[in-house]
Amino acid sequence: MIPDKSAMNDPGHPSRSLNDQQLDELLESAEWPQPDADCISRLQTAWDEAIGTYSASPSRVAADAVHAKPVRARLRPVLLAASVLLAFLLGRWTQTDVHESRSADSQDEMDSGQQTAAAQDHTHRGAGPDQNNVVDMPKPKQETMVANEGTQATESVSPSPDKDFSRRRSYSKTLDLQLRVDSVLSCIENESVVDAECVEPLLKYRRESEYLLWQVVQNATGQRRVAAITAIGFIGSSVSVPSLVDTMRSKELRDASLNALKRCADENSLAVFVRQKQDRAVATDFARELTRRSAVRAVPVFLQLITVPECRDLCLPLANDFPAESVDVMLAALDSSLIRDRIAAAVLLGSRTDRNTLQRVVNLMQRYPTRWEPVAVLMWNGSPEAMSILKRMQNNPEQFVILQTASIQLKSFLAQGESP
Amino acid sequence: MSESGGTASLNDLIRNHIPVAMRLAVRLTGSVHDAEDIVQEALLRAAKAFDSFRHEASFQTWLTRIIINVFRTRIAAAELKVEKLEETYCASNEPSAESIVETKETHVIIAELISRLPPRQRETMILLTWENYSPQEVSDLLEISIQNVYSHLSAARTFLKQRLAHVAGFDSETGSPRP
Repeated sequence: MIPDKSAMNDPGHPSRSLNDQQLDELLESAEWPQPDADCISRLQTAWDEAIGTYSASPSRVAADAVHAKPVRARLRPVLLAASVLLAFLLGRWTQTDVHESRSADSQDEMDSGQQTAAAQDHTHRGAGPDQNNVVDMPKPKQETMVANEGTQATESVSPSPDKDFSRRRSYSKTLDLQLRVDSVLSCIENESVVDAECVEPLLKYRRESEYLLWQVVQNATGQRRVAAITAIGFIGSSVSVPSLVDTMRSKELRDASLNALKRCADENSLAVFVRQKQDRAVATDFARELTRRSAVRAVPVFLQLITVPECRDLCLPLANDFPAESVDVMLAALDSSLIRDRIAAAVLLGSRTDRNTLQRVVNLMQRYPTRWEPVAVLMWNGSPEAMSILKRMQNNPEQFVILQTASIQLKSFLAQGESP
Repeated sequence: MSESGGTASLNDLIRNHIPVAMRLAVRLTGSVHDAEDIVQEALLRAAKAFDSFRHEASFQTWLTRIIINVFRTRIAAAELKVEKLEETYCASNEPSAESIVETKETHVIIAELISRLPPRQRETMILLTWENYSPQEVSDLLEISIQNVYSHLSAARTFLKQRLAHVAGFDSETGSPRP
C-alpha cells in the first residue's frame, strides 16, 4: 500500500502524466523475471560452502579462543605455583651471588655511599605496589638487570596495541593480525569510499599484513578479494608489484589492482607501465600518478618518457599536473650534462601554461643570454608572450644565432624522437 | 544456545529467506544474474556478522539491510548495469509472440523503468510498494529521514507517471486509456 498520496502530486505536469490510481494499477501489474530453481539451489550450495568457510574463519577461531578460556583458568593455579617456585629459586641464586660479590668488594660497597643502602632499605620495605610480593627478594645481579632493561626497552619499542585490541592480548600475534586483517577487509567491503583510515590497524605490521592479504587474494572469492587488493594498495610495498600485474589480468580485480599498482609501484615501475601502453587510459593514469610523486625522483623519469616518441603525446599534456615546486627540478634539468635531458626539460617546461613558469624561464634567459635552452622553452611554449619575446630576439644578430640553435635542437628532437 | 544449535538455526533462517532475498535483489537490479551475485555476497556477510545480530529487528529486515548495502556497494563500484529485461525475461520464460506484446506493456516496461530509477529512489519505491515496508521502516532501513523517504517516493512516482503515460496506452493529455 502506498502511503500519503498527497506527497506524490506533481504540480509541474498535472495533465501530461497518469494519475495516482492509474499508476498504482500499473505498478500492481509489474512483474520481474523469476529466478529458476537452479539459481536457488546454486545459492543454497554457495551457502553451504560459505558455512564451511565461516567455520574456519578467524572470527570463529577467535570464538574458539574465547571458549578456551576456562581451560586456561584451570591451568592458572598451576602456572602461578610454578612461577612462584621459579622466582624463589632465582632469588636464592642471585642472593648467593650478591653475597659473594659483597664479600669480595666490601670496600667498594662502603664507598658506594648511602644510595645503595637506601635502595636496599627501600627494597626490603617494599615501597612500590609491585614490590610487595618480593619483599625478601634481593637486588638482582648486574647481568640480570641488563637483561631486564633490554626486555623493557624491547617492550617499549614494540608498538602497544590500541584499545580495540588490548582485550585480545591473550591471542597469538598471528591470530591478532588475522583479526586485524579481517576487520579491515570488512570495513573496506562496507565502505563505498575507502580511505587510509580503514587500513590503519594494519599499518603497524605492514609486511606481515601484506603477506596475509595476498593469502586472502589467493584463497577467497568475490568482493573479499577486491577488498584485499584495495588494502594492499594502501599498505603494500614494491614487493607486491609483480603480483598486482598478474591480478590485473582478472576482469574482476582489474580496477582494484590498477589502483593498488599506482600506489605500490615506484617511479621507475610506473614509467615501465606507461611505456607498455597496452591501454592508453591506463597508461595515462600511470603517467598522472607519476606527476603526484616526489619531484626529485619523478621529474627525471618523466623526462626519460618524453624522449620516447610513443609516450611523448601521452605525457606532455600532463605537464601542468606537476605541482609548482617541480619547476625547480625541471629548471635544474636544463643544466643536465646530457643534452637529451636538457631538451626534454625544455619541452616539459614549454608545455606548462602557467604564468609563473614562463616568468621564471624569462628570468633565466635574461640571466644567461647565451644559452639556448630557455629559448627552446619559449619556442615550444608558443604563447603570445613567448612569441613576442622571440620576435624581439630576431632583431639582434647574436641572439638570432641562439634562436637558430634552439630551433635546430627542437627539430632534431621531434624528427628523431631521440636527442640529437 | 549451543554453538552447533546456533549454526543450525542460522542455516535454517538463511535457507528460508533465500527466495525472499532473491526477489528483492531482482527488483533492485532488474537482472537475475546480478541479483544472484548480490544475494550470494549478502549471504556471506550475513554468516560473518550473524554474531552481531541482536534480534532487535526481524531477520528479514536485517537481511534486507545487508542486501541493500551490497547493492549500494556494487552501484558505487559501477558493476551493475541496467539490463535489458526483455532479453532476460524472454530467455527465462520463452513466451509466445502475443504474450511478448502483452508482457512488454504490462510487466517488462514497468520493471525496466523501475530499474532505471536512481538507486535511492529505486530502493524506496520497491520497499514501500512491493516489499510492504512502512515508511518508518524504510526510513530506518535506508538510514534517511522520513521526509526523504516521501521525497524519493514522490520523485520516483513522478518519473514513472510521465514515462508510463507514453508507453502504457494512456492518453497523455486526458490521462484516460486510449481506445
